[in-house]
Amino acid sequence: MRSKVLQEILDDTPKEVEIFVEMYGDIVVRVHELMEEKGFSQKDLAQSMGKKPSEISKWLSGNHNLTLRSLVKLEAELGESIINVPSRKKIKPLDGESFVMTVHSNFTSTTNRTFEVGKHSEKLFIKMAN
Amino acid sequence: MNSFVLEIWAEESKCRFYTVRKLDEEFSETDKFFLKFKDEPKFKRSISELANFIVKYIGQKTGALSYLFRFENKAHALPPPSKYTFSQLEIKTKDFPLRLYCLRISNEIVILFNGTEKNSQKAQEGNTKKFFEEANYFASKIDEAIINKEIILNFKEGKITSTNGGNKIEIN
Repeated sequence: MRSKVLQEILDDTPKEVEIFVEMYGDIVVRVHELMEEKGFSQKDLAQSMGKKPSEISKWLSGNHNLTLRSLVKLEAELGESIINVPSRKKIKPLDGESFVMTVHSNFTSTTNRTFEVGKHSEKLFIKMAN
Repeated sequence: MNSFVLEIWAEESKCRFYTVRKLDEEFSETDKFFLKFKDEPKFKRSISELANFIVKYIGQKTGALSYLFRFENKAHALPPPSKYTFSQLEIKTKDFPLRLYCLRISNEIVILFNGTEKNSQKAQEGNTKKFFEEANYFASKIDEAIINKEIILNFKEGKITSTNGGNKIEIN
């Protein structure tokens, strides 16, 4: 159940606003969780990056666009990915036709893995091996 | 100030949003806020972002995490806070032109009030003064009703119910 006024606004929302809101929220939550996990304060983060605390504030504001450089610096300082860009990888299964797979990887903590891909009862299965 | 009722404004998978409606009025306070700004070109995008942040992000993805709200005395407000209380991380939202006041009760229950354009440094000044004060009045009355057991918070189901079992939750 939703208010009619709200539903009208949601129905009228451009796709790019939906994407912006989700990405903005995800970045705020992700940075917040990482800072809490790693015991960083805004001051610590600013000091280690040679920035003023207010600049970190601006980066996390929905009205100040985070540049790719800023995001990468934040990732480097926090030691974890904040956003992931999927890659497309063509895979040739052992017993089937090749297909393209979207791969999400975490640049700062990914370890090399070997994947064995095959088909079983019409369902694709992927076996992970170290 | 008039008596008011609590009504459901949006029921989402992670959070139920209530609003307040003054007894003699047709629209809830939250509908009044969105109706006031939704067709103004200057605010159209902000209204859309705020509605989507409430419903799609808080309502369907995270629930009402405390750090997604700013503290405004006894009440709260959206968009997210200018300061995280535990980590001192500041998220400046001063450029976001609107404030919507609310009361975050738990991750699953939020009561939305009214709001307006933010045109002063402090919420207690400028355009927001009236809505800030009204939000704090609503929050106090709701607190009293909880303490006096006139309304019951069901945290497990994310619901507010009336002690008398009726569907109408009236607060005097």
